[in-house]
Amino acid sequence: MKRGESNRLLTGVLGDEHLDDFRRASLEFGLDALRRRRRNRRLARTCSIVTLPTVVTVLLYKLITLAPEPSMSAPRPLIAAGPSSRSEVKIINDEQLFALFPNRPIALVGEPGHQELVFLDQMAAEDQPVAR
Amino acid sequence: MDATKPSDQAASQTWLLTHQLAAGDEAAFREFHKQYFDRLYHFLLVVSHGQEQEAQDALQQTLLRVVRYIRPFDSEDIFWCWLKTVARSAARDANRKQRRYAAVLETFALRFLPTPSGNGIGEADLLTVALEESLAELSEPERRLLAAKYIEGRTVNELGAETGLTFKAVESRLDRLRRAIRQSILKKISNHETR
Repeated sequence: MKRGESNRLLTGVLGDEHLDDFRRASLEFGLDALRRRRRNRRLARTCSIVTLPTVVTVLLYKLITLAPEPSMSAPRPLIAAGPSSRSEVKIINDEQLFALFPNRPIALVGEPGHQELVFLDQMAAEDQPVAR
Repeated sequence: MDATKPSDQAASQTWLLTHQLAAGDEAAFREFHKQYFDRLYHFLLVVSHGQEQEAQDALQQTLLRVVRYIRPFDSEDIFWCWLKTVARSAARDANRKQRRYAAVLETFALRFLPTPSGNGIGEADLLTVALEESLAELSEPERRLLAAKYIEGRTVNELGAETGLTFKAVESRLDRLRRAIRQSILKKISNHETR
């Protein structure tokens, strides 16, 4: 007997009303499982579509807010101390210093290199050095 | 080249069916059910030693696992081997619920199951052998009547006209023969150790 023939015969002799009921019930059972799986997949896809941009947005926000900002307390960049700032400091000798205060009695007191400029009229009034 | 066409066609049909099943297509599931219900049931009947209720429970579990783990197959033979592996594990789980850990491992392994080998052919053969042995126990007219009805697809009316019996008599004889042969097959496979 060929396989196809024996299969048909087996289906005929093993089948009955009960098996036909079970056949229908199992089809519905399988279809329900299929629908459930499809629904779960769709839900998972929707969740990932919604969640992914949210996560990316939150991460970007965190990255932006945590990035170091130039604050007032932070040290100034060193570029400010370039040639322009150095040109503002002018080195003068003693005579040129005296020339800056022509109408006031002044003197340089102390060892060379550690001298202090003393306004004598103010010192007389307050009995102490006025400026350093 | 023509000789390869039918197998190519069968392979592409299997691929299409399994691909659509994996995509969750309902029409594909109906077609799968139509094509494989009886084949799986017969297989499970042997695996469960002729216990019809056990075979039916296992078949439901098999369908559930097919829905869950199906992937495209490009060969009908490989697909059928995979189905048998799924069905056998469903039958074993139904019978041994206490071994939950093994079931979880097996379920997990199904996702990564390599191309199954052709083992398990014995179950299908066993059913055919049981059928042939049971048929041999019948008389020649009884065998002819069963063959005419279930292999040739003749109607009860046609058989009545050929044998000179009434519709009811033919139907009654067919019913009796069917019950007898069914019991004989179930008894033979229940006595056979397959596990």
